Amino acid sequence: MNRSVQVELVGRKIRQMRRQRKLTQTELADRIGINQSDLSRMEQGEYRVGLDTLLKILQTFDVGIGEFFEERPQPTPMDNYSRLSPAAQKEVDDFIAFKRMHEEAMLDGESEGDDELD
Amino acid sequence: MGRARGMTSLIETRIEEIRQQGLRELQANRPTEALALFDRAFELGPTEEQHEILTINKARCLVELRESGPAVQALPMILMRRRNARHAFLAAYTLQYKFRLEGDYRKAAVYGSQALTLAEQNGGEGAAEVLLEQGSICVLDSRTEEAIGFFERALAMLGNQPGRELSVAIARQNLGYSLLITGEPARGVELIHDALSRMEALGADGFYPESHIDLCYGYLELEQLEMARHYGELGLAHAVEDRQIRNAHYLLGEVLYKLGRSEEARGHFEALARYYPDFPNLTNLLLAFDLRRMVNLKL
Repeated sequence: MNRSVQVELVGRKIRQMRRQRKLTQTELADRIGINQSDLSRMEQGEYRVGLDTLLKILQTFDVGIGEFFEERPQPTPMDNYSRLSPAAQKEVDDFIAFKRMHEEAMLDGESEGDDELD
Repeated sequence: MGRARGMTSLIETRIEEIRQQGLRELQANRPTEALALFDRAFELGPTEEQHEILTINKARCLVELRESGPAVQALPMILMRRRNARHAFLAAYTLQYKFRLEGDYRKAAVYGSQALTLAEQNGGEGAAEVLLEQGSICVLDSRTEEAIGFFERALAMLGNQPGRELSVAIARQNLGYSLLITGEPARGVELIHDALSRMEALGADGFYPESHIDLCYGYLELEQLEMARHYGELGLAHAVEDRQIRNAHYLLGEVLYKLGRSEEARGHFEALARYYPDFPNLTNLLLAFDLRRMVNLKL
């Protein structure tokens, strides 16, 4: 059976919230309109539901989405770079090269200034 | 006496002609027209044998139209009575299909299993179609690895038989999708492309949107985002079912988000959210979380 970590985590979360609300599997399954056996499989991370059923579960528990799932990680600068087209990546490379030259020139200027001070 | 027998035979022939016309309408996805023809055949006074097969044909139309009626209710009786092996098979196959459409996958699988046994007893005719249905039921019921087994058996059975090209294409398409879900996206995408080429060769354009949307999913899994976007847009342009439109918006939203085009992604998620007015935060939920692994897109 194909399992994914996310489905397992969500399954565990559903079981935990159902128990906190003192609902049986049958009661929760009735509320969201699926079979008890399917809910049982969902809690074990073996069953994927339709989007509408997932939304009904969230509504039934009346929970914020942050309680349910882990946040999507913020993209790193490298992620952003890798999503660019090759042409755009070249522009970024050129800009970085330009910035490096600029910073080196600044450093040279500073060291020349230092010389003057000497 | 001879004249009366001749007349009876003429009526039987006429009923069979009308029934065949009805079957052609049914195959062309025109169940209402087919239903009218089967009703006309009933009016002509069919024999018991003809009455039974017309009942099954009529039931199929009603199932397609998501309706019920005495013809549908008669199917379990026809199956139990088994006065004609072919009719019993067709009754079981129609019940398998009916319960699949109604979302009762356990009953659908039970009737599918009976249909398969009957098909094998009748020399195998129709067995591949039953296996295809069983596979689809497994996909809907999150039993994707079992589905793969059914689709592979269907393909082995169909081989290169002439006249079965569309069934082969559908089996390859479904197998491809199942492989995407079970972590073999490259093989899955390859099979779906092959199925799509076969469907295009047959002009079976009703099947293109599902293939395009599945390819969008597959390329998204492969992180080939521009390809995913291409097929997602094609799928959206030709989608006919609400489910297909919703899936295309959802997948395009994911693709565009990954491409760093958050505003375009939001547009697709908002389009999807319009189908769920009771859930005002859906757009934000989709922007925050990738639900691909949790949701069954075939439901």
